[in-house]
Amino acid sequence: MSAPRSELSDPELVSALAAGDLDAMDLLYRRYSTLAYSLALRILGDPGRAEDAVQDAFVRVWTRAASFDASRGSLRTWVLTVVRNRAVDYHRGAPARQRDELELRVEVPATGAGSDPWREVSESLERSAVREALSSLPSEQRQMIELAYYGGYTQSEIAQLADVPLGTVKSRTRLALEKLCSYLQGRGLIDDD
Amino acid sequence: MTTEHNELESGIAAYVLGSADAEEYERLRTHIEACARCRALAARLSRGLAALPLEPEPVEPPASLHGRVLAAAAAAKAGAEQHRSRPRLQMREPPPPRVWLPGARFAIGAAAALLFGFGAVAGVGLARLGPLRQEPKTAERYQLAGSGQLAGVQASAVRLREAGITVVEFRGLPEPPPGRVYELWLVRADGGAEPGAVFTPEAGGTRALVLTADLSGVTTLAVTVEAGPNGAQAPTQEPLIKGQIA
Repeated sequence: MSAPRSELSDPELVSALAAGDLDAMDLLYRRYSTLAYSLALRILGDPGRAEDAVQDAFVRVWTRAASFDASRGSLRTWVLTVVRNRAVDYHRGAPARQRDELELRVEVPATGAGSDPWREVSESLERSAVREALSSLPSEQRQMIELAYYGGYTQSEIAQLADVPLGTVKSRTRLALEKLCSYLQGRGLIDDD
Repeated sequence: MTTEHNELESGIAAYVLGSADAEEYERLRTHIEACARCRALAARLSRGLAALPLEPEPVEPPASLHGRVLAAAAAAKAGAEQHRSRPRLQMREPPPPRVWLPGARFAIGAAAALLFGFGAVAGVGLARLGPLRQEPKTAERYQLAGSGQLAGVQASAVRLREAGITVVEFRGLPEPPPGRVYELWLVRADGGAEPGAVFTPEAGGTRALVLTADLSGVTTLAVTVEAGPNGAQAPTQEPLIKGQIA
């Protein structure tokens, strides 16, 4: 790698990871560990289990880096998807084929690595926008996101937990995700269709 | 659009979230591959989904997790390399003798010569980290002690002999003086010292180093402050942090 390690773009970092560069693994951890741990802790509520999930997830990213197409997807999204899936596996007590198969299908365009200070600013803006978007949702729609994303429950399980028909769960879930997208699009944080 | 299509389209959000019921998941996956409209919808919803992980309040992970992750990655790599090739010992010409400063209390002998060089050695045996919450039974923990200006630094080493990996962690490490760096030394019983790593602390004064070199014969780890950015070939001062690892 010719650039200083801290200035590696995410695609360059993926290449280095795929090549088995442990320094790249160190950079990956320093770049995304706070987001990863925060997400795992949010899902699991237990610091020890969150640590285990993060460790498991980072090693999974390390061993599967060669399979990830950095030109088609965001490294950050991929890493956090793996973390979320590992945390949900711990929470539910079992892995799910569906989660495994969707992990490498991340196709959210990369937004560019940027330097560390700008990365933090960008993340902070995104965090504010996501929180505002979620808080603007009707409680029954927010509940769908909470149970599906953070809880890892299936639609049928959510229908039972919320005591509503399956069709209602599907429509509320779609409305919630559509509104989230529209809000973030309106704030210029995701691309137009 | 048909009723069947509308029904499938209503499940796209669940598919993107990974919460579709198992029997519906396969239908949705097949449909999305074939339907451009639903594929576009899935892509759009995925962009919103990608922002959800940013919602939680940021919480810094424990400093110890950094070393655990690096050690796990190194162990995974060592295991993969062992499977690809038979272990072999890589020898290189013995380097010129490197000695500690004469008069330094630390050194054993003023003109010790290294008995042999060493290089990276493919794993001679795999030690997986075992159950996620436990270090492997073969993990050896050692404490390193700071002195002088680094008396408050906490440092430790975890040695996974079978995997050929040693993780050295530092906490409370101050920034070195301008133009200087910290250098880790691998010291043998005869006092010979080999450069191990050059490093600076991260934000918060922590740093984790993963050593994959053969540490056979190395009895002590030591840290000095040397000229940056590349450090020195031989230590120029007494160690500020040191500890035995054998």
